[in-house]
Amino acid sequence: MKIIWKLFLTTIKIFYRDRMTFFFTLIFPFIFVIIFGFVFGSGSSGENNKLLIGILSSDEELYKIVNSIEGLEVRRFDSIADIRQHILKNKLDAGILYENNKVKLILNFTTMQRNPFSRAIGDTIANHLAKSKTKIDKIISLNLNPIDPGEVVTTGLGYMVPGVVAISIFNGALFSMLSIFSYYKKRGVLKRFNVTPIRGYQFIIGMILGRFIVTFFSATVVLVFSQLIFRVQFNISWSLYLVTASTSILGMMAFGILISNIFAEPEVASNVGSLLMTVMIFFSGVYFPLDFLPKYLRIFGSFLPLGYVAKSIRIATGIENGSISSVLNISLIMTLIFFVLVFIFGNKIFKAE
Amino acid sequence: MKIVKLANYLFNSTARDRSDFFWLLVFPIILLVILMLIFPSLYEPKEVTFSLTFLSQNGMFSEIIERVFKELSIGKHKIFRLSILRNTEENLNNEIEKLRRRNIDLIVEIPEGFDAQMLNWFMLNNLGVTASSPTINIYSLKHNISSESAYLTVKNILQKLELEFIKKVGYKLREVESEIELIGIKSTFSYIDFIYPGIVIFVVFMTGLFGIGLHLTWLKESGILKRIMVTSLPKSSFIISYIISRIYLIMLQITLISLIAKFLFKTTVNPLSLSFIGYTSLTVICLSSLGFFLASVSKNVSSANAISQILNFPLQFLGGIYFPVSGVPWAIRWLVLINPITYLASGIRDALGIMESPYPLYVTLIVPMAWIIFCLLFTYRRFKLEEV
Repeated sequence: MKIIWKLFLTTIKIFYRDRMTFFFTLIFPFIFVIIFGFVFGSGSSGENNKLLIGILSSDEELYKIVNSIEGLEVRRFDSIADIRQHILKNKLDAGILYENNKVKLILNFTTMQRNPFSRAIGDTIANHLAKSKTKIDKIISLNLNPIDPGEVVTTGLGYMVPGVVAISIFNGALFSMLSIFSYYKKRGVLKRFNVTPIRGYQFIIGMILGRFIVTFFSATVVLVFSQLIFRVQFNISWSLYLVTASTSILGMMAFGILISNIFAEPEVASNVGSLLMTVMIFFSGVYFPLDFLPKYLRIFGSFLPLGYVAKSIRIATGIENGSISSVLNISLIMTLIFFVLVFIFGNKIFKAE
Repeated sequence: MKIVKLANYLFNSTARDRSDFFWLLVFPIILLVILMLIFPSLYEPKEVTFSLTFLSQNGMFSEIIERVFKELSIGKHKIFRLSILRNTEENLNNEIEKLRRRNIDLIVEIPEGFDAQMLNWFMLNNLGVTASSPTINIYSLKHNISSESAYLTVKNILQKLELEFIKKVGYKLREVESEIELIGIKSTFSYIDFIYPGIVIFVVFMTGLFGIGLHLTWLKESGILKRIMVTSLPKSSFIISYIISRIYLIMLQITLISLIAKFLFKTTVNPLSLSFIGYTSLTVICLSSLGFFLASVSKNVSSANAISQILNFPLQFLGGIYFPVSGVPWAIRWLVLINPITYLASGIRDALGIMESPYPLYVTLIVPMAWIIFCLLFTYRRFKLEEV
């Protein structure tokens, strides 16, 4: 027990001294939260941010109509060139011109990127103008009820944070197994341990336990700090979080063990791990929506474990509803895979040495 | 002759290193393919079919609306996968749960008494009294782009239907068309044209950070530089050889990316155009200088690696390589503004006629040049002092 405890403490020290692992587990997810939060923050958030629309001062009718539409704020300008300049400098979201029964929506490309639905404003204004002479405001009112996916009302950024926590878990767990099962083997660390009185299982338990704790701690730090810094709302069920985060770490560690056994060279294994991380970041639906991708890519995305880890953490943080039994089933599967792989490859690696 | 030999050796040793080969030559190609699979479908979604639940009521108006949605749910290019149910509280709750679980994209609910309200509205309107308009309830899912898009589509359909109702009553409507003019981009937007120069900048950036900064630090730490310095080879020859070897590498990277962009993704950008060659050369000099700067400030490979990784992601993502970043909030805009990649990416895209640069042309040249001068001066002072 004492040996396992010593190895456990040493692993924790190594983790915080190893700048790269520390960076990828703790700093890297934060950088992504900040960048994506600011760049795509309002685009998919569903928040009702008002769009700033520029129109010509001379167009009184257009002013009245645009002003009456919910979600739009109007600014008046003396010339079209002035409107364009303001749009180009991102001081206006869009401009509207009305001439010869034609509504022209001038939109900045970056505005369309942040708010893809801004391109529908032109149609809405054209419909209002079409019926403006009839003095009928509207026959049918639409009452939109945006439903929160979970019990907590959160922003787009808040919805993204559990995905970032999932990435932190993936990085920490996968790369820690690559270092134990790949780099330690290559550098002869395992061989040296084999000639000490330390038994193979003690080494593996001590190392894995250490990496498990630091990965869990780092993921939780990302979650709590995101909550504090960006003031996002969560309703964390700590017991469910403990189960999902722990079993996700074990599941991702299983991935690492598998990769390090398929690719014997540590550098190759590390490159495969990084490539897998890139693929998961793009195709697991954490940062980019998969809804509009071709069907084969959506099916591919559905096989990536990162999406399930992110979903489990969303459920644990209360921002998405889901069946707890399915979360527990996934957790059980991940744990089983982990123990089977550790047993097989842990034995194999020490026997081989 | 010795210079070329050494350059060849340095190039071969990088190309033979599995990690360098992967990150500098293979990974950019994989990244380009991934980006091309994801982003075009986000900018221009094609053939999207939304899952819609229509909770209906008895009555003429409800049936007209239902018929419109049914018509839009048949055929090869249907807009909706429609499920029509009676509007009961139980059905509504079940469907909201399905919406939460993302089994459907949107719910359109015709509330009880909708038909009576519609008739009432038309009667009062005939008498010249303004009546309150009947309401249709729509339920969408937050943070879900499919649901938000489905709502906009339904909103547009119901607005058009409303105009038809007004026409039927006998009012004459103005025929108003609408069009969109996107500014900030030139001609029709094509993601491959947008991303291709970005990926070229990305590969040069990777070579600058890892192929020069990290590699040179490794040469320094492992004592290879010291050993070279005690040979008869002049320092200048080594430096020239090293630069030539990196030029080989960058040319190989750019050629590979250009071939894939041209033949696989059919970019319209001409990589042999003067503006492309000019800005790419500026990019090579600027980002290679950044690599030399990194090698000068790093004491060992570990710190060079950490600095590279810290610089890598913010400079990449906030340089506008993958998506425009000119409208970001001030909290991170300063990072965009001091980033040389911002100006290189804007300049090259503007010069190629892909997207208007938010900065004047001279700024897109001056800022990278200022970085070049700063990095090279710093390298000249620090790197030389450490090695002698």
